Amino acid sequence: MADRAIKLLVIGESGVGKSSLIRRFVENKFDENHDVTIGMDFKSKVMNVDGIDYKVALWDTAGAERFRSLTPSFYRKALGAILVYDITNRDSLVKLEAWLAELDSYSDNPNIAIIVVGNKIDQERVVDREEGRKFARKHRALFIETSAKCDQFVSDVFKDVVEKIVSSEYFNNGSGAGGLDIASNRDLEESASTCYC
Amino acid sequence: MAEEIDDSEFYRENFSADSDWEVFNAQLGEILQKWDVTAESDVGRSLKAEEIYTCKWKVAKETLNMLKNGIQVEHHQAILPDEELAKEEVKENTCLQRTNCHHDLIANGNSFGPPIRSSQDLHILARIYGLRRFIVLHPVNPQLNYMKSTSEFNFFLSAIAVVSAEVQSVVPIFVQIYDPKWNFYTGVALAPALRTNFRLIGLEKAPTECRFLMGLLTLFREKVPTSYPQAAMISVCTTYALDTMRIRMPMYVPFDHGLSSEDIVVDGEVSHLEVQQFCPLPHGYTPESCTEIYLVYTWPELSEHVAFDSEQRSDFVPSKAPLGKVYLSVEASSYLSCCLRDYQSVAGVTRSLESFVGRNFSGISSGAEAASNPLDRITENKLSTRRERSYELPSQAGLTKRLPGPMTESELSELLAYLFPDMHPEMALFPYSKKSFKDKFDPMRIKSAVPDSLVCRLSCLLANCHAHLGGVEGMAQVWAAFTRQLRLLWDNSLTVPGISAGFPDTRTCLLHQKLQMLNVCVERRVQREANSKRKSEGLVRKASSEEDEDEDEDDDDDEGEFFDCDDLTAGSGSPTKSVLSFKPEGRLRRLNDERLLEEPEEYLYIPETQDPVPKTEDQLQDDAEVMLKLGPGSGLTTQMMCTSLLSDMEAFKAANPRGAMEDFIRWYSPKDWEEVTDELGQVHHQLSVRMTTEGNTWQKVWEQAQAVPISRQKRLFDDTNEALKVLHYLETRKMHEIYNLTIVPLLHSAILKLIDILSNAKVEDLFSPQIEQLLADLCRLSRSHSDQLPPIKPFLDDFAELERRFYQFKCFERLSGCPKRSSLQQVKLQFEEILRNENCCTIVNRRLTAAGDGTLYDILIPKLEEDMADRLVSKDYIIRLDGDTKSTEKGLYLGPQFMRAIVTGEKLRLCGAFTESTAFV
Repeated sequence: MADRAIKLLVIGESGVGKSSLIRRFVENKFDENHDVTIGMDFKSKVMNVDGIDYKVALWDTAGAERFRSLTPSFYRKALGAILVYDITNRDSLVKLEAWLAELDSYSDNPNIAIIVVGNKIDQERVVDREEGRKFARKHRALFIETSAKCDQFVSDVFKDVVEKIVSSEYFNNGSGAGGLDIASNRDLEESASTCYC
Repeated sequence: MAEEIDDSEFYRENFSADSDWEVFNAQLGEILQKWDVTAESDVGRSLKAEEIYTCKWKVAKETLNMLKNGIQVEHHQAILPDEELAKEEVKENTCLQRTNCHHDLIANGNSFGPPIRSSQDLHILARIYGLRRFIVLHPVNPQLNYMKSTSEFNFFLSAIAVVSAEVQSVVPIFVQIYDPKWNFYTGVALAPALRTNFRLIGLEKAPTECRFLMGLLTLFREKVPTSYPQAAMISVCTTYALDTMRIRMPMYVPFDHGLSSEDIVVDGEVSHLEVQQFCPLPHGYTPESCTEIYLVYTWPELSEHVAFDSEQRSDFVPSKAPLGKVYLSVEASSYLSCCLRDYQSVAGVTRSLESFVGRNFSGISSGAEAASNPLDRITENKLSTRRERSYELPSQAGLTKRLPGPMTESELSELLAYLFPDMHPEMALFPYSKKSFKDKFDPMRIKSAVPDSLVCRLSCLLANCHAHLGGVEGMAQVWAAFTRQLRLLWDNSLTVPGISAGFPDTRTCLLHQKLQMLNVCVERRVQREANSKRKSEGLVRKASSEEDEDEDEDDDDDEGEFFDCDDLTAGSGSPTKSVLSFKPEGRLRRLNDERLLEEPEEYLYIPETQDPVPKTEDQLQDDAEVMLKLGPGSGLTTQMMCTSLLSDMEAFKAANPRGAMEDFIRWYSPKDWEEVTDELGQVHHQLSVRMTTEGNTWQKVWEQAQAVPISRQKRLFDDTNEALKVLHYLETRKMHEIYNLTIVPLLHSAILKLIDILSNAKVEDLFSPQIEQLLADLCRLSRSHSDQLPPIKPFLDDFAELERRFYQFKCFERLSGCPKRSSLQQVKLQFEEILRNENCCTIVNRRLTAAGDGTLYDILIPKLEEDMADRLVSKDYIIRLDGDTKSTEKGLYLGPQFMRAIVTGEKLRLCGAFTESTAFV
């Protein structure tokens, strides 16, 4: 393999904290006043899984309606998708259905690894964890709750999804079937304990 | 081996005097130990019926050096699926004296394999003795004059016996003797206190009595070393060949009017393949296609005293057989598969299109700007390009200039009429169906195009031309003619037919996206020109009252409405003030009943905005690569993304001259217009923190933005440029690139054509698993992540196999007398068995039913009995005797005795495996 590059998409409604998650993960910074993403942005980081370095390219998409027509063009060749919602905003979880539908019809990878992320656990919760879990189970995705602000479980998001990708048959032979399962959800649930600050 | 142990414990060995034989034995012993041939490895369950014919085999090979002759040692072992489990169970049972070899010789489940050798060639020894594991020695070079004399046989045979004993092997080991073509073997298998000797011989002209059971039994009795009290068990199998069946399905090549077409005279019965939907791919089967049919009758197990078989009278006739099967072996190759296979070779042709059809084939450089390169045209100053563009038909010289190639003008125009029916209404036979292009999406998600779209038609046509109408040259000619037509369409502002509407859809193939892009360009251009015409007419009307303007000039200058924003703003010093004085422009509609924050009298208007920029997937990839190169965090990425934001802000400012950034955000990103409750419990709104941060991009862009309605903005999307890019892209493809653009829609169309053929023969249901597999495979192929198309050969093999199966079905259908003597339903049911069961189908089974269970039996039996003797291909007798422990006085196991006789006409092959006790030797 010439270049172990992994393309990940980060999608979700405006203001749920997509860019903040990436910023926390890549630069370990949090900035309340981060620019509202215009169109697309992109950051990369080298991750080590089982002793192998992978160059992970994180494609940050704008959540705002007006940029919607642009984002599907960047779904090509993505190996994983991080679907983010805001646990203080039920609507942002509901809208994930639409994002997922779009992902489904524009992604060229039938085995794309999906992780559902409930962000902002540092704030007062409106959406039950169970609701997020149900959504993830329904779509055979991984699930985790995070806080980009307090740096809780942010790196787990990226670690889990990348491990999922590199362990899949699809990644190794470039073909092959086999869907994703949510078997690992239980473990995730244990680890992602709520912690307010 | 001289071995001495000294008193002083000084250990020495001297091998210098070893004979060749000893050296050979040592080498062989080492190999056998590596393969673990001892009794401990020899556990496992008993074989299922016909298992060795269907399971996979593991073959290991080693080469030994023997007197400068290479001797190859091969280890053959059947891979039994659930053996691991069985091993556990049998572990405790190892006290049983029987080895696997003994079991296999006695078991009758694998007596007779299919009469047709299946693709994976089973070793003849497995076929003859039903063995699951054995080792064969033979000279590496079959031409070698070796293994021809008795002394040589004995050299190896004794070596085998000695080494087997030394390593305690229980696996049979054979030596191939004489000419390898003859398949003569001799071998030995050891077991505790038993030794089984294997001998194979053949006779060209066997004595008459040895060709029937009675004589063979006598022979067998003579060979058995000890006397057995019980009767020998007999298995018999007779094979008859029916006439080879040929169904002529003649070649059909669309658009071919030569002799090779359908009207070619063929003798014999002709059956034409029928299709509902025209598809320009050839079909039909080559004349060599045929089906060989064998009838096989078996008597699985009889006692030697029950059956009678001699030259005068035989019990082994088909009408008395308990088990009968029909085997169909098919050799069929279809012109469709051939055409697809041939097309693969284009993938290796890296010649340019120009090298086939000459430079300037596209006809653009006729007349004034002769010899200009298409690239120059694109990179040329835009304004001058526009001026030169003419809306008439391009000069006749360019279009009528004959494209060099094997096809004549009239042939070529027939093909073009098929691709562009509207442009050749007098010749068009196949208009595009209107409804099929309405955003219908293939549920199988193959990255191709809508069936029977221009892309599919073209792809099929290219493959057809490549195979039958002029080879690569013909293909190049068609492609060049195609691009020439596209340019003609563009020059006349006409859309390309047979393409899905809308933006380039990245779920379709690249060629389709390119044509969609061309259509978007045409639509934008038509719209733009209509707008500017309307406006200029309005202007003219106004102007004409003041001064007489030449209307023509306005029409010509259709670019006049578009200025670069830089030009506009260059002079204005303080835009904010001047903007306020402008009257609103470019309003689309009100945003509900929202009013401006600073001017509560005024409504908030959504401006007309520029449409998003369409892009094909290769352009998107280029964009992504640019972003990757710029690297994360560089402001350049944001800048790239800001052009559309700037355009929208400018349009907003033009529509709402008194609007503030807050107003803009309320429309554009309502999430950032937050509801807050202050200390007094008053609810009011404010911009989110991230929007109000000092120096954020949104604010910067807002400050930068001038009030410019889209009619005066610089176009984000330059349709002319993009259209010329598409045309240039298509005109400059090399042959292998054309192949890459068309292969997926071609394969997709080929599957659809095959489905059409199958459904017309009413057998679609029979092959639906294979069809679905093909579609799924193509889906995966078409969506492959690598930039290089993965190899399509496995796909084509499966495709050809399905076509072969269809031919087989047609033959079987005729054999079964459908529709006169049997129903299609019945035939399908039996054919399913053929598909499942290695080309074989049971026609009689007296264990399950009293009489023959179907029409097929009734049809075949009379056919056979007309001249049974002539049709008999071979008789296969097996005589087995198992030394049961209970039957002997001392409770000793005597081992299996086995003899197989294969009678083919006058020829006889005898294969014996006789076991002797070594206990008292």
